[in-house]
Amino acid sequence: MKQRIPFLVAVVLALCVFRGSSVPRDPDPRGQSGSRFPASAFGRLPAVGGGRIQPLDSIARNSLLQLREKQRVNAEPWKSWWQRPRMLSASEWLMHMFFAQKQADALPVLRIDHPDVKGLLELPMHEDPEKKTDGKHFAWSQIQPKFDVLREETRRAWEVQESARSPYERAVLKLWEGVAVYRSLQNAVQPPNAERWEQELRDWVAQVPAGREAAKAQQAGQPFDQAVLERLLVELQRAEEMLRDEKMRRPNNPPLVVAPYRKSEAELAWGKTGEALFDVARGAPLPVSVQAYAAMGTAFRAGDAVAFSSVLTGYQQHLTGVHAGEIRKAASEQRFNHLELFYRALVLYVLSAICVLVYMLAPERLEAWRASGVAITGVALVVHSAGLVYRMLLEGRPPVTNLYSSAVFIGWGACVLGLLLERVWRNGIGAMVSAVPGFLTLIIAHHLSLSGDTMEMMRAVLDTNFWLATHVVVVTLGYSATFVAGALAMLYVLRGFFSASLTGETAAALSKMVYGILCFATLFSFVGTVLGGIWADQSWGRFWGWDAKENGALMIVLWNATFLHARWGGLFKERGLMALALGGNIVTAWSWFGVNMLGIGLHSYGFMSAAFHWLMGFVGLQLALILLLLLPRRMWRSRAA
Amino acid sequence: MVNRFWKFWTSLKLTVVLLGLCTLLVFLGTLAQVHEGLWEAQGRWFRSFWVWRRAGDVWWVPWCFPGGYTLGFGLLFNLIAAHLKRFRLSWNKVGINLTHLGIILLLVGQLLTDLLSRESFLSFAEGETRQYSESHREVELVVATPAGEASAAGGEGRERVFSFDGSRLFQGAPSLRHPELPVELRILQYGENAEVFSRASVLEAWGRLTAALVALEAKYGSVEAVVAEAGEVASNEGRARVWKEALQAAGGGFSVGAEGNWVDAARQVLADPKREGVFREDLKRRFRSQMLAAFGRASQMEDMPSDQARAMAYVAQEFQAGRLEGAPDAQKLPVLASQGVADKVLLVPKPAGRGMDDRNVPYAVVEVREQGGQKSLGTWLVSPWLEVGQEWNTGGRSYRVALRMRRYAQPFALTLLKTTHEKYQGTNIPKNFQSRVLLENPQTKERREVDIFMNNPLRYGGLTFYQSQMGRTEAKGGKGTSVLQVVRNPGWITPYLGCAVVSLGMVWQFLFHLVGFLARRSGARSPSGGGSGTTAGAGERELPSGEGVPRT
Repeated sequence: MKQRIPFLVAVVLALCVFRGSSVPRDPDPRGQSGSRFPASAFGRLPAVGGGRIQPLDSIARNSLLQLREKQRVNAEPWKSWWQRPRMLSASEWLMHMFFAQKQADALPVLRIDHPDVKGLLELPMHEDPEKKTDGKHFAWSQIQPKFDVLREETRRAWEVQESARSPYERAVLKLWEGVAVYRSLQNAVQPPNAERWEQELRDWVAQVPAGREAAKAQQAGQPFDQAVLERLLVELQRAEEMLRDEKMRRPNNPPLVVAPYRKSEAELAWGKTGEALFDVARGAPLPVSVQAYAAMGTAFRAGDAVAFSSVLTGYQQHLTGVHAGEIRKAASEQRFNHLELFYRALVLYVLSAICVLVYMLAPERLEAWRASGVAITGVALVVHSAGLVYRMLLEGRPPVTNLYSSAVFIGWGACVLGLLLERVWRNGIGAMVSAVPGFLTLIIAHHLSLSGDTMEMMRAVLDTNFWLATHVVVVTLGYSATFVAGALAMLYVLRGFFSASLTGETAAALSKMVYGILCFATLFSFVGTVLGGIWADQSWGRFWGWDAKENGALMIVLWNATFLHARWGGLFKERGLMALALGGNIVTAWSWFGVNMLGIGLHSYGFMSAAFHWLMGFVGLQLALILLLLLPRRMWRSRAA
Repeated sequence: MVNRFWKFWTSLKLTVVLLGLCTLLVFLGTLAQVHEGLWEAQGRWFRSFWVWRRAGDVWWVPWCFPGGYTLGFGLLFNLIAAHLKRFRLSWNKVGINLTHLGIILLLVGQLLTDLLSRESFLSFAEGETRQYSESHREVELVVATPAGEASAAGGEGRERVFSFDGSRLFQGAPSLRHPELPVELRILQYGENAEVFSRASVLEAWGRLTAALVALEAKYGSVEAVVAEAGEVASNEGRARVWKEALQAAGGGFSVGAEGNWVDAARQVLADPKREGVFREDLKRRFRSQMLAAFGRASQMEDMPSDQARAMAYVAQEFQAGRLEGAPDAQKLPVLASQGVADKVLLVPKPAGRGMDDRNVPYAVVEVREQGGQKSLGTWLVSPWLEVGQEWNTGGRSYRVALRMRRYAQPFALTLLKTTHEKYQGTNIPKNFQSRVLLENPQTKERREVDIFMNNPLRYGGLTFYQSQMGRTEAKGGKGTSVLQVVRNPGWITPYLGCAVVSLGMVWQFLFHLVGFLARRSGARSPSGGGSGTTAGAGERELPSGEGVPRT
């Protein structure tokens, strides 16, 4: 019986963690509940954003991540959770953004943390439930009065060189980008604040032929009806404003919600509503998408969930006829969004780490805790793998395509290696080094996802599944392994210095693990680096160009080779080798994140200042641990090590 | 002595030190790219024996550090020596031996690439044909004459071309001669980079700026005009801001940000004879600098031809620095040479860019003298930007002088047929760059069309053509243009070989150890009944790793 406890624990936890992971079923539109609009079906509608087909649900979630770092809207953030603040799902919020901009403008969805930015915009600084604010999240209606001031500050901050910007200036620019996202969404399906859009659209379309006649007559110098022509132009002016934000002086970038409607062109492309209106003025028929969204808007503003549902269903059926593939893709991605596999894996990793920590307090008596920890890690790994595979299927690409997915994959690799170690040694160490890196890398991935869509399209140079599947995967596994070796070394120092639990036996085991893992790391980082060289030779004609990222990978290879030769030559003893493994952490972190911050070379992603502080902190920690290793043995609590 | 020397070169300690130094060198060399540019840093840190600290370096640059060649050769000798000493044929060392052999190949291959490879660029517009590619950095000075009867050698189209290697330009060669050339050339001046303007557009921009400044002077010259102006500015956001700032500086009882009728405050200041003079001067100064800044940004205006915009930015900058003033005067713009187009262009030297994407415009002033004689035919200003209108006559023949990017001829011709530049829907993310090219080789009678796109280069005749950039010609409805990177690298195969050998060796070694290790573990565990599950590692032997390489 005692043997089964861990498995029961794992199964129960897995079930708990998976609660609420399916796409919620829409309420009956005829029912009496508060919100009767079919948010899930709406979120399933396909559109093109960032160059790819995605469900509106993803567009809403990614926009919210950029605006307020969460995938949902808390409409009453000043309330604590037990006061039950009103929550909106991403899709519900998007319905407001599309159809009822006035209501959307009152929702506190723009997160501002920097006090000077709040001061600039004269926003409340602190939480104050009486004034209905939490001092962090603000509604567009609160920011709008100070829009001109924000624009002036943005202009000034923009002219400052990127690396010289103060945190305040970066916060201003971030808010500006958020505002651009916000205003683009409001221009996606209708001009903002058009209360009778469906009617206006119908009237205008009816007058287009007459307007075109008038325009032709005017060009030919013949008499024409001034009023009719002006009516056409006024509406085109509105369409123009949907495409370009004159207040922000930049083009709007709304999702392309208009399904391909022009039959003549060879390649059918999705379009923006504004563009479709221009085509209508040129004589094209009104696209079904524009009409459907206009009708949904009318029903939404009228609070008529039944009418909304029937328009939505009709539109879906229309799309299914021609765009069955897109519909399937969007539905599948919506399911992926709701599964939140990586988040669930993260929770499981934390649970597993806790179990193993408890085990390490008294390894002789608490074996069941270790087994539970391992079992939970196993479940986490399954969930994590499922997430990776689902993502690969959605994207049609190998697992690593950008920094975000590299974080997810490094965690996965670490988890696999850790479990292998655990299988061989059965002393909790392997479970620890799978759970902790798994947890940390998923946290890092979450923060990387705040900058927008994580499944963005690959630029032409990178658009090759062969090299992504070989070079990138192998080199990332090399990162994983080096981090696992580093984590083992950290465990060595922490247990040895702060506790008496590092027996000579455990120390020897750790030392062997580090060595084995680093052999693996050397192999993978070398092969990965070399494959990168071959890719570069295939695409640019040089095997090696001393590009910053290439150099980073080379440093890992060199450092691991240093470790191996130092061990073979007997130049370093156990502690010296552990110090080298900790150095491997620094080298790998540098090559993974550091080089991207330099802003040079082909792999640069721009200056990431927040990440920079974390990187420095990580390097500092490793250096501190190396210092502890250099302390004389008698100052350690584990004397034997 | 010999023994110690031998011991030093074969020691594993040396390997570890060299590898550690390599890691550090790569780190420093990468950091250096931020300040020195990719190209410069590469040469200084990786293609050198020693890196010495120079004046103006960033704080972390060490006083002296071994360069890439020192460490690379060090590792090479160390490897070879160690293997000479310890080479033994045995199964468990096959992996290590292979790995090291591959590393030797890689090091040698990189050296070969450094010494033998050549990168150049071939750029053309749709419909154009090219039989040569051009260097990005190196230049050559050429004298061309229409090919007459002696068109056998050195022909390039219907011209006879005498070319002088660019490196001789800045070595201060006394004079450049060729036995078949009736003249000799002397380099009077050479610069790595410059900006070239047409004198006419500089004078025009100068005129515009002067006119605008005169108008400004008039507007803020008298109190009455300024008072009249005050009423109008309120409607213009940008001008109003300048006024508010000036008003604040004049202490007009007004603070920026506070709402209120600031126009009245301004009128009050203007009505005060003690303050109005200072206020007006201040306003004038503010608007003047704003105007200069606007001229400087002319290139951002959409419907401004780039030549004019550059000229405006140049004039504004010179005014700001006080080097130009007053009415336009052609005399004040320097003329560098006596002949050719020198009196039509204005060439302003500037520091050379070191970045990967910087395109420098080198220039030279060349004096042409009769062969052996003392008579000078005049001086010419030459630059890759100035290729036409640089002729003279000697002995009834016409000659042309030019400085151009060094050309590498190829025995076949490429014609750009069509360019394709696709982006993802609704974004600026490039999806595909593609050039369709006609390849014609008279020697092999080949005439075929090929597609060159990202990750799909054309390999032909020892050269490889990669899709590099894409654009459009400036004219309206312009044609597509394409830039191909052309690489000649006779040693290209060595890294492939090296990689294959190293990978094979590593996989061998890894599997060899893994299998041995697992076999021993299961052997160690089985007597105790499949492992109690509590402690591990007990009763286990040391890994055989130490046996891989004998200890020194």
